[in-house]
Amino acid sequence: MTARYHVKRVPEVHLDGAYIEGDSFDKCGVFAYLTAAADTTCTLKDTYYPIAGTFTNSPIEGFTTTAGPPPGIVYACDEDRTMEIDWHASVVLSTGNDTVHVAVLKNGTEVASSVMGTYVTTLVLQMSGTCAIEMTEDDVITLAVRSGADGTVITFAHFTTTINKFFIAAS
Amino acid sequence: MAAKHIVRTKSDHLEGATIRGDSVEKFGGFIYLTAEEDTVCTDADTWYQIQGTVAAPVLEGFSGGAGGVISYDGLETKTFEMDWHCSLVKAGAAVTVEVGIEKNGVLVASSVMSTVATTLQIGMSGTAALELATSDTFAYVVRVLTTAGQTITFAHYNATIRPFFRN
Repeated sequence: MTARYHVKRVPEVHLDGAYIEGDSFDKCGVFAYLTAAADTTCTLKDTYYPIAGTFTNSPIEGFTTTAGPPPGIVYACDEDRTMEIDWHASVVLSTGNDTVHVAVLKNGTEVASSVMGTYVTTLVLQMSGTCAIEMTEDDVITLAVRSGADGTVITFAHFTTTINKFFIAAS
Repeated sequence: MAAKHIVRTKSDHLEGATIRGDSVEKFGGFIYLTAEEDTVCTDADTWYQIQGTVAAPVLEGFSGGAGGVISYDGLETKTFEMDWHCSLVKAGAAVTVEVGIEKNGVLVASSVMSTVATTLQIGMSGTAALELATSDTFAYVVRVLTTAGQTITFAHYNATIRPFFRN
């Protein structure tokens, strides 16, 4: 049964609530970015390695971080949610070429729908990807890369990730 | 003072409100370059505003846009997600190009992405989370690394601006 409440809104008062039925009001999202270019060494081909380097995570609400393993961003809300994960990268090799794939790992396991690949050379290229993932408290999200050859060293000149609620209120 | 009627649909969930500490005003923008345009990067390693005529078919809580500079008109300091996409090309030898966002004329380092630019058109995209206060401005910028006197042609450019925290 739907109950009705009359709420008088004044500028000083902010309402706690949500548009999405079944979704609570808490702030939940993170923006993470690589603060400086960094190399990730893929010792074994076809094996995912967390993207290495120093990341800044700001703003961050409803998430924490972990050194792992696996290292990554930890979902800290107590409500299961579908989250959108978007990422962008600038990638380059110091020598040679290779086909590399970037993916989102959830609790260390590849999220197949998140994978994007490109042929990387010594000329910097851009990559991006997105996915929608159901998340439960303490799930760990890791951004990772795999190479097509043993020993490829991939330089990420830039890397950014946003994680946000997937469902947005319509207006 | 206006009163609003809010329908409570289930325990602890209200329609008509947003996240805690955030008000209910509508904020957001979508802008795009209406036609291909050149941006001349006279000096190497120097940021230049991306040139061209910008349309802003969606702009709520912001103003400007036509000259490529957008101003935040909200009274409340908020974090916004800025997503951008572009297609670019250049004549002559390949160079490394970086695209990013400036806030109040200062580069936002986390917004920068890079690619090689050649005579073959290539796509780029990026994102950033920016905290904006009233009257803060931002613009989209490009630079060429190492090589001076380069002209970058933006075949397409668009960007969205939305509150970062969603409900």
